[in-house]
Amino acid sequence: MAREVDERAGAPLLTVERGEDDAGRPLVRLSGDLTLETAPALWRALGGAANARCDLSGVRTAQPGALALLVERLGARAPGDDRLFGAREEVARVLRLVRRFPEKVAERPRPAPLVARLGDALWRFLVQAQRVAAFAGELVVAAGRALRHPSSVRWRDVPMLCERAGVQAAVVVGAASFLAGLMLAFQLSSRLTSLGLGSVVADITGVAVTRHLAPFMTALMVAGRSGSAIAAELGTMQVTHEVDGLRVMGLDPVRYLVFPRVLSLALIVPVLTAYANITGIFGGYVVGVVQLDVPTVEFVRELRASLDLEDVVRGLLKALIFGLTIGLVACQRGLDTRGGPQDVGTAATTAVVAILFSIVALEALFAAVGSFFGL
Amino acid sequence: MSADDVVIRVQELTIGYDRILLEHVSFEVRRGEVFGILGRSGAGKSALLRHLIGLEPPWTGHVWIEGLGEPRLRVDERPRFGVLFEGGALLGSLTLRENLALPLRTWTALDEAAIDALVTAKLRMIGLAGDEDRLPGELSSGMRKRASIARAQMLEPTLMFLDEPTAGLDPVTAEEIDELILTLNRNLGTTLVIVTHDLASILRTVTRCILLDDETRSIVAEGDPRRLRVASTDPRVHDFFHRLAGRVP
Repeated sequence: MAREVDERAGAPLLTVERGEDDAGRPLVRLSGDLTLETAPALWRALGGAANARCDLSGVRTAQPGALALLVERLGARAPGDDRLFGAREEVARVLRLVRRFPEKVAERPRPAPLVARLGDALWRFLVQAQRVAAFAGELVVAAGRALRHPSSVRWRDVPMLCERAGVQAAVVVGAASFLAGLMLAFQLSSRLTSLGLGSVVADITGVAVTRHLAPFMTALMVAGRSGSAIAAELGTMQVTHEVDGLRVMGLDPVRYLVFPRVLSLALIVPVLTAYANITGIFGGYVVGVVQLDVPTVEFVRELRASLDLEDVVRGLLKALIFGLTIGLVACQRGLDTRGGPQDVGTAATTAVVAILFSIVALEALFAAVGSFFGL
Repeated sequence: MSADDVVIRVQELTIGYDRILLEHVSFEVRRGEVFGILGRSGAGKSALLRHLIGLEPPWTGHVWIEGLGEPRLRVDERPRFGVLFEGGALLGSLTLRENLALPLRTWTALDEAAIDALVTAKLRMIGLAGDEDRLPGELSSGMRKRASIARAQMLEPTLMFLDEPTAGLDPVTAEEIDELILTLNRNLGTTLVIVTHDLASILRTVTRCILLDDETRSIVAEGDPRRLRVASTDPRVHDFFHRLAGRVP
């Protein structure tokens, strides 16, 4: 018989002998201790021993883990399989425990082919888009009910949410818009200087900031700050069953939680955008005065001549739509959270990605529509 | 009882956080018993458990665990005992297979195929075969508890601590968990320390217990819970064992 010994400090812990019985069938004889310490040696020694019979009469002690590996190696999972024999009562008791439940082994999912995964990703994107659209519908219905039953909305949350999304974001929004205006003017400065058109910086900065940069930068900042926070907050409420708690109390989570958040963002993003208009234009002014030597009076005159109220209003309307979008997507992703704490993080991340994508897509749509209608 | 039978010795232990929860508590846990730490909510049961396993340092006094001495959680040493936390403490981002494989990968020389086979076998033993690739968040409370017990048992510890193993479970599932606890104790000889206030579970599983009292911040009774239930004349003990009598089968 072939013999393998696992020993520590000279004393054998487990001896595995492989050979054949009198009838010529493969036979394994074990003696010693079957524990997690000897299990690696057992596992190695019994490679290719499926269908062998196993004499356990020499086994002194057995832990379930090592016995489970023995059963697995021999393919003797069925409780009635008598190929494991000779076990003393203590060992047999553990063996019965190991084989107590009938076999039901799940198949591991195989990785899908690339095309299937791409198709799956596209499908999930479409499903998400459909859910956001359905959620927008729910919100419209909830808004209608809120107008009929104003007491069912937590109006007192709105100022607090406005403060959180607006006042606390003012510094970062102002700074980002200032830098965007500054960057735009810097990019233009060398070309304008060579053409002798330094004062045009006021025209271009004014229109670009009010129409595009200020609403866009504001939306990006609010998405990163408030969008992720709202998704995480509602996601946490979802996984801790607080949202279910509202439902069972007869409260509509859309009216109670979503409506105030979307409303506050729809209010605050245009306000922040108006503020970002000022800081963005100021960024252009700094470059105009410092880099292009444009006098302040000249800058203001050019700005007033080029900037229509329509430009400002159009930018603020865009900001209103961005605010609604941020609130809608963030709330939808938050309330769509299922599972545990890690899913809250996923909800916040996917919310920000979805919001940024939506804002860029909307910006492109506005540009295309504006161009088509000559606006 | 010989000194060899003692697996945990607690001497004059005083514990607390911002205030004292238990003062001068002493008791012993013997090999092979299912030892219950009982008491009402706020009596300091779970806090005591956290001190027993070394998660918190005591204010004064000593805890001694066989083969370990003073319990301290060491990150670079194979754990000597298993712990089931009340919420299960399964890692939510890992599947059941990965959760159960974690201690084996860290502390044994088994190769991946062996670990895989062992995890599957353990899940089969607790009736969760087929759920290997599910996340904890996709399981029911009872399944999570069973999986958590399996994970705590992966390194075959001879001593296990269970914090509220049946809390929040329906009576049938709670009874299944109790069966699993008894299987560990009777078939594998595992010594179990259980924190619970579930009377039905106590009477099914616990062989000896201590009853903690939040007013005196001490142990008010020690012994077989079935005997304490019928024989104790202490009103606090009587109150604890009889206030939920209607729920005990």
